[in-house]
Parts: sequence; C-alpha cells; structure tokens
Amino acid sequence: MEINVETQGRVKIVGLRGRLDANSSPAVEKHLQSLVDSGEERVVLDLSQLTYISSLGLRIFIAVAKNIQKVNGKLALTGLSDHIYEIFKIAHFTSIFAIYPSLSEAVVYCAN
Amino acid sequence: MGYEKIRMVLDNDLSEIENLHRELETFGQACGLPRKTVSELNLVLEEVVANIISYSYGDGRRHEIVVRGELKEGELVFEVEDDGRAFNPLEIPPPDVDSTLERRKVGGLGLHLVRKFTNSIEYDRKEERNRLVMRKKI
Repeated sequence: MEINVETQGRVKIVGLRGRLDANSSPAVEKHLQSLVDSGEERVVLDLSQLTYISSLGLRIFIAVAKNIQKVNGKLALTGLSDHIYEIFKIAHFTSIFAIYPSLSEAVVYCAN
Repeated sequence: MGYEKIRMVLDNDLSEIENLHRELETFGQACGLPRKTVSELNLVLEEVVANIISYSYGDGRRHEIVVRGELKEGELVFEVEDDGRAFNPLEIPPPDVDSTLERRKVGGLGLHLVRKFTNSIEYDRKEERNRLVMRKKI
C-alpha cells in the first residue's frame, strides 16, 4: 500500500494506492491519524488507485471521519471503483460520507 | 485445466492475509472466476480469517488456521477451521448501519459483509475446533 499526500491550498489530498486490507490498514490508519493530529482539517481521500478494501479499511474511514468532524473539518472521498462503491453501499457509507465523482469537485467541497 | 480445489494452512499472524489473497487470486484464475467474484471471495475469507487471528487466541502461541475451498457445480464452497475459542459468528447481531456518523461504531462491519457476499453460512464446533462453511453461487 502506497500513500501519497499532496497539498492544494488548504486541502490535503491523500491518495491510497493498492490494497487496504487487514495487513496494510494499521499503517494507513496511523498515517491518516497523524495528519489530522497535525492540524489538517480538510482532507480528500483519493481512492482511484485503491484496488481492494476490507472491513478493517472501512473502519479507518469511520475513525478519520469522526476525528475530522470533532474539529469541524471536512472530509471528502473520490475515485471509488464500482466494486468499492458497492461495498460502501452495503456498509451504508454512501449516506454518511461526502463522495464525489471527480477529484476537483471533492477539493472544491473541502476548500469551501 | 487448472485446479478447482484449494487448501491453505495459515499461521495466526495478520501478515498471512497477503498469502491468503495470493492463493485466492491463483485459484480464481484457475477456475476462470469473474474479477468481481474473486474480489468478493477475498473479502469474505479475509474477514473470517482476520477475525480468527485477531480475537480467537490470546495465548501468544502459534496456531494453524485451515482454509479449504472448491468450485463445484457453479457454487464456491469454502470451509475455515481453527482451534481458537468457541465463536459462532451467526450469533452476532447485524450492526446498526443506519446510524449517524456520531453514533456509528468504528467496527462490526466484517461479518455484515460476509453475510452479504455469501448465500449461506454454517457453523459447528467439534473436538475443540470451530468450523465455518460458506457457500457462494457464481
């Protein structure tokens, strides 16, 4: 699993590349948590290079979303493949996350 | 013709999940399974095996988890056997997936996904071993 972080104005774009499974989840969770702890409150998760997610990956998104909500920040997701979107629907994540079809829309949501 | 049966013996270590995925990919290719089915199979088996590794032991010792699977008459049948503490996943109530983010629990989604991506699940415990059989039509 590769994590790439880019900055666009006040927004951090975190790209996850590879498989988010039981093995890789702890490192990703730690990385995202440290980002929020360092004061980043506007985060876009770009999942366009994410090939697989399990429930341990899903729990990271919930944990990060809760932490960002606590500081009145903004979190958006983009780039979900059909398979990952289906898993999000089963988990009813589509109603609690701001999910955008394009990266630019996700960035605009977080920036404003 | 590729093999249509698989048997894996995994240690109770989360790094084994990578081996599990690799073997399932090979099995899926050999059986000519659609990409979507292989992804769902990976997810189901990971949830079950990661649960066992994370919660079934606690003695700090090495244990073996046996995964057997086959494609038979258009149905995938997978069996997972472990010598951990008794745990019947069928007794776990479904998570509340309709609550707001504030009330939403961080975990508890794994078994929910397993139920959604399989057609049937059976559990039994014999001779101090848990055995879970999952069936999925393709």
